[in-house]
Amino acid sequence: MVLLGESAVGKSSLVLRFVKGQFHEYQESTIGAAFLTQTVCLEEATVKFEIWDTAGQERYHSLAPMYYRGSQAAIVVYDITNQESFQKAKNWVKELQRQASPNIVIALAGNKADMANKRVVEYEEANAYAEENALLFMETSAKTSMNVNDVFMAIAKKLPVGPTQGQDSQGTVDMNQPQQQSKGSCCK
Amino acid sequence: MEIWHFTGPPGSDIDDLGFIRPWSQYEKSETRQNYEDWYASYLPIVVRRRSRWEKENPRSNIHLLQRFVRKGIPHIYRKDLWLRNCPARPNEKFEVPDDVVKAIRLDLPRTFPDNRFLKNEKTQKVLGRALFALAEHIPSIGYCQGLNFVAGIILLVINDEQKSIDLFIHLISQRKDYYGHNMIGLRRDLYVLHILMREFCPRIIVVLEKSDIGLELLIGKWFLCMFVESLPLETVLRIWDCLIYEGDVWLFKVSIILFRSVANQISEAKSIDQILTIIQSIGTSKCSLYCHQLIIKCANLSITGNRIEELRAEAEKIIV
Repeated sequence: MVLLGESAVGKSSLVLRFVKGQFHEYQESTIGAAFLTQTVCLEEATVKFEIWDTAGQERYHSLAPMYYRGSQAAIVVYDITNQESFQKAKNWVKELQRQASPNIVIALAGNKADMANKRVVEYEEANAYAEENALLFMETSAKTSMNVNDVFMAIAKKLPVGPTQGQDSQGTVDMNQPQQQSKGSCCK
Repeated sequence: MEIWHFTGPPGSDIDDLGFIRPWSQYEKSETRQNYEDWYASYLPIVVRRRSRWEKENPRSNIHLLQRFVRKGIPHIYRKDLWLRNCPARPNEKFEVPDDVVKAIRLDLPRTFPDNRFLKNEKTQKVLGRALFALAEHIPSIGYCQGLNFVAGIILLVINDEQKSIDLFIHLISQRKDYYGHNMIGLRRDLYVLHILMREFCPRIIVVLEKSDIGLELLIGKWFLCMFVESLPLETVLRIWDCLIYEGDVWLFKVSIILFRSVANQISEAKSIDQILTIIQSIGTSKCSLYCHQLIIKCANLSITGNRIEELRAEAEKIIV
């Protein structure tokens, strides 16, 4: 899966919270992209998340298709205290709808929900937009960890179980298979 | 797998450049043990080099100087040597758009947030002025994320605002097409690296080609940040010694040696996931920690600046 969104909205912080349970007030800017993995168990399957955390700055945009073209899922992140970041998020959603795999599961995450007193993007507005576009939607806070696991889990539940559709796997390593799901023993 | 920047003796809490020791005092860990072992082997080299510099003063003899630089500039001379051939920045300036200023501001507290000096708001403002000066002088770049780390290291080593800005602008202007809006220089040079890898690490490139993983994805950051944030800081400083004196050829040499250090692992990798994890672990590997040996291996690679220029000309016809 891939995380997309404007600079400093909290993409790396969401991933860090999900993968390591940590939070830094000042998270170093991501250059290019970082790759992280996390394995979690759902009721009947173990899901391995393979996550591309991308750089937010506009000029890194030209590299973004490499990350999302084979992804099964994307989290598009904005900052609820920053109107522009919501607009950018909408642009990302449009780009994904146009360019990514047609079955991609997209979640919209309104991050920094702990800063509700500085809110400028209303929950209702974002929720309505998400419904129109058939996106999963949650407001999250990497700082307090509110909804962080939930957004990843919600995505996992929407993914097809078993090998990815339409991929050949004849002994080659396949970029287009960022999720490997297997029924079986739970990891914990 | 975080990259630590700490470079000093393992016993101290903070090194000369203000980076914090990456483990607590009582913790016994493998990383710490590795660091201590490395430092024990590196310290005699540092001591020996410093006494050689003092005895032979290589500054006046260009060939001797190249050899000495490759073996590591002693920390107390590094600042002078880095600045030695650095011109003052040109007078001509351009107006900096508001969105560039905003982007710079956003990254100031996000540049080495644990560094003792950069934590300080005053130093962050110096960093801000350095990034702003670059935007004023090279409008085709403005601000590109990653430059904050490059400027940060320069400021910490040079410790003089005006001279740091001169060096920063000088270094970045040599590869300014890396950081422009389409990053064409970066894509061109990664294509060049790809060609060189076919020759110098064919086994790896076969795996990468088969997996359809582009080098941009894997190691774009190595080139953009000149290995800052990807390798241990002492290694970065040693690479920069060579890079400043001999130019971009060192970006390619170092990349090839780093890839070679994981050639066996990569050939055995069974999935993209494994390949990515192997590449990301290079920064904490023995090969990247033992900087003196790394530089010697790089120096022995027969790649010249001319070769790079030829390949770049070739690449430019293909990369649009």
